[in-house]
Amino acid sequence: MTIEEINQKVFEEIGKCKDLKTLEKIRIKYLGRKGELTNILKSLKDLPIEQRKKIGPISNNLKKLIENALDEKRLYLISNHELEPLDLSLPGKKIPHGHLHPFTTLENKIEEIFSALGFEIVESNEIETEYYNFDALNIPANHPARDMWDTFWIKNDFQSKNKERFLLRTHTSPIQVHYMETHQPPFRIVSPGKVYRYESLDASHDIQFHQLECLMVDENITFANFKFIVLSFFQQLFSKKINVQFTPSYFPFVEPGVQINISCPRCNQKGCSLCKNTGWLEIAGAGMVHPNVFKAVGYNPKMWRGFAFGIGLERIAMIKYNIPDIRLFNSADLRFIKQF
Amino acid sequence: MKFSYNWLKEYLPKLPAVQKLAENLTLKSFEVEKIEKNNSDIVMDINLPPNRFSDSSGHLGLAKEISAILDTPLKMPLFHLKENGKLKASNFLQIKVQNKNDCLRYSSRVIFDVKVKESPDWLKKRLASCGLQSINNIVDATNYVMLLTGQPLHAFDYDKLMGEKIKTLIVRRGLSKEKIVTLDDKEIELNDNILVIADLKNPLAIAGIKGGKIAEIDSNTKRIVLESANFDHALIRRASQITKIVTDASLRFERILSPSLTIDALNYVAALIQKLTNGKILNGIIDIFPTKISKKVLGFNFEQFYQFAGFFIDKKFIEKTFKRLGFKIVKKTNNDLFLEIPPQRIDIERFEDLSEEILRLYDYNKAPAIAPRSLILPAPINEKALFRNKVKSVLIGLGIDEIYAYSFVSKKDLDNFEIPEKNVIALENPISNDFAYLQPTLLINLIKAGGSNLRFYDSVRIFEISKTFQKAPFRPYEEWRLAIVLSSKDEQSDPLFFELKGVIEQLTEGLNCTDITFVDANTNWLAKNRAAKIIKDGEEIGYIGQINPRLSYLYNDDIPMVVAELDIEKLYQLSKEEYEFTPLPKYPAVIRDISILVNRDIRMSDILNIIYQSDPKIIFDVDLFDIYEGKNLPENKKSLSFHLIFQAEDHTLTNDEVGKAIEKIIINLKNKFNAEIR
Repeated sequence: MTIEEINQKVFEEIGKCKDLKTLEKIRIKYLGRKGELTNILKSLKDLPIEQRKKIGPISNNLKKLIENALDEKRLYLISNHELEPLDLSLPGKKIPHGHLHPFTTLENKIEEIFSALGFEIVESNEIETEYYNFDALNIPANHPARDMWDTFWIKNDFQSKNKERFLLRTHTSPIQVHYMETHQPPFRIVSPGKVYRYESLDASHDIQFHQLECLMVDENITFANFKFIVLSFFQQLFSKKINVQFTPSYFPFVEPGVQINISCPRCNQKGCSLCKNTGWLEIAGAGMVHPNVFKAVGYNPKMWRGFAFGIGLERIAMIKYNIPDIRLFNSADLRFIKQF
Repeated sequence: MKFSYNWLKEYLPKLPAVQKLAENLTLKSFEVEKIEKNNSDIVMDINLPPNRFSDSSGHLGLAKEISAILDTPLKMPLFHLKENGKLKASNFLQIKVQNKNDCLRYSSRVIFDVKVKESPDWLKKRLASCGLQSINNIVDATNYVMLLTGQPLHAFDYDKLMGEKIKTLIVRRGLSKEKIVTLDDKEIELNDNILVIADLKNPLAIAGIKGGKIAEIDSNTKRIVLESANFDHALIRRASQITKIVTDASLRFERILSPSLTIDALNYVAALIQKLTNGKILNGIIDIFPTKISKKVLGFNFEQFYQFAGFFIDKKFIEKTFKRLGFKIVKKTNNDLFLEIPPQRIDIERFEDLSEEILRLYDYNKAPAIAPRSLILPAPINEKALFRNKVKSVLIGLGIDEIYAYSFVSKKDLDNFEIPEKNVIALENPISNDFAYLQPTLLINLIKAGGSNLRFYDSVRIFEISKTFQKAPFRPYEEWRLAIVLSSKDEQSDPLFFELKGVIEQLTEGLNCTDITFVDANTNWLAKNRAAKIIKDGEEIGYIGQINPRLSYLYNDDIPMVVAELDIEKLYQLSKEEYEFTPLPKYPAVIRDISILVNRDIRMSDILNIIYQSDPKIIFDVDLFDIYEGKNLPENKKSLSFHLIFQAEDHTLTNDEVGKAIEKIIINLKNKFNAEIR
């Protein structure tokens, strides 16, 4: 290209150019290492002096003009970008994402609260021996209270000599014994897990559900401390103002034994079907650890005190997420799970 | 347990309205589960804990409890018992208890000249309120007094007992081959685990459970023997389970009742029968009570209580509360009370029990909530639980839904999966055939869940992390596993397989458990040529595959389904907690593409191995970006295209070096696989 040709074309191209990428191409085409104008400038040194004097200033001048035009255009494009109209109301791209079972979400939330209160999460087996599920918890064989826990027994066709009876744990409380047998107080633990009861299935009973056990043992734990932890937990869990009520109850491994009720969050105690018009929902069994349990694990009941409670997690989820039927949790029905 | 409001009111003149009463009972004593109208009466259904049957399962006992919690006066019932004066009961009846551990007390009276007839209305009404049917005045009287005192009672027709002048009742174990026909005409076979009341020849009643036909009270009965006894609770419980008979009496005896209850109940019932029938009560009670119970005196230290409660309650309130409960203060110092506990309060054994009485009557809800004084130390983290949660997060990020299923499987499931029954843990008392065994793998229920969800979805991607149960020779054990199922009506099995393989690769990478390999395997419920073991560091951590056509047909309507199960504990152990930084490359990489044509049956892993081995120093990565089979290619051939990425640690690669490496690759591929370069 001659200087004239460059002069003719370059400004037209810059004028038509609509984006920075094309602009850069134009720059390279004319001013790049092997650009048209660069070539002319490079060739100047081979020209006779006369011509050099004539073409030299013209070329350098043109280079400046092109540079200015490019700068201007660049500035223009940066500050006046324009995109084609687009229907932004079109749906977003579907990015596949799975759903956690609502129970996992709840368990995580509960564990977070307890972690903040300094509780360690521990776990134990779903198959238990009779001793850990009952005897060590002050529920010896033929204790009338054994009927409170309808039990699935495991067929013992093992080669074990002592005919230990195995069962599916009916509550998470055996962890109390396991943990205390292997640890020294003070401590605070929570233990979530599956439990099993021989029950007929209906909207509020399942043969398999989850509990969370909580146990705190120290030298000077009091009933008032127990209330404090229970209240802190439930108020954080339901994140709105709820009332907690303690009523007398009986579990052989605690004394006193209490039942924990919470004010019905659905109706705010005005009365509804969830709370059967009582305004209260049973939510946990609890109490101060019975001295016989301490004895069973080799603690001196005169030195240590503690409290324990067990919460039915499905029940909490049903209240929290307004789920009408406990059987949904084990149904594996995605129409249920995808809602969470 | 049902309680009549009107009846309670007889003993509690200032009894508040039923709603308020129920509220107070629930807050301080026992949960009132239901309040129902019953004709002119109101019935409360009360959930009585097993350790309070002894003192509160009768209306009088409950009235005492109410009197204590409401601090309202109690009016004891009056009864006039007039003994005949001439005839002595012990001249007509003797009682033998064979084992004093089976029967802790047997108290009996004899009444002559009774007239069996219909009960008066007031009596029928009381029974009806509590859900009992009226039989006749004698039987109704025993039931009435049971509802009053909590002590079960029984009446025998004296004339139907064996013996001439003096008759004998024996409390003994049943004999094998012995039988009894109960009052409701059922024949029960007896054995050594069943306690009976017998005469010299026949068993007359299953002790504590049900009367027998032989000595039944009927319209001709003139003379009766009344039984007010205390039997070993465990024995009654077992007998009730063996005979499958549950009665009001057995339910009470299964709990522990105090032997102190028998005499009052016996006198009440005798007086009532006398009133109803004008019978003659013979002189004296025959009372077999071999092991007397001693007085129970417990100390209560105020300071200890305040430390236990964590707050202050006025000493006067405490003293008054014990008195209201009928605990007699036998000695008192500045710091201690010594209390005599009424014998029927079998639940009160120690300091903690006394503290419970004070706290509940004070009202648990009035107790303050006080933060524990102990230091909160940072809780140790449960790494394994955290790991499982991390797995869950990765999987839902990959578009897979979490489910929970039952831990049980059926015999049919085991058969379908060809798992021998003897290798699986069975329940002794399953709730049904569908829930008879503990799952040895998560996949049985997960495959079923996949199948059932396909009724509503075209594609199902689910996982579960739960326990599986295995049988070791000496005991059962359990292990955490992770199972994943992918199924889709719109996709072929093979792409699904590679999707699942991709999921597992993504997962293990996300867990920093890299370098896993997949090795072809054979398992009986995965399809042939579509099953692989998942290996990490030479250890098998799980398997992956397409379910075999039979299972697919049975559970899944032949819709393609691929599954994987991993041992999450092993995965945890093999995953590295820490990441390690590799220095960034200092010299640029060179990328070259290569396409080859090879036989279809040549495995990708073999080709990759050969490429890497060709010049391991500078071949940095090989990336397969296209596989083609079919049109325009010879049969049995596939075309593979790779990006080859070359890089050296210590210098910029020259064209020459890269060219030589590619040459080597090509030669090796040609030699090894007869590959054609395209």
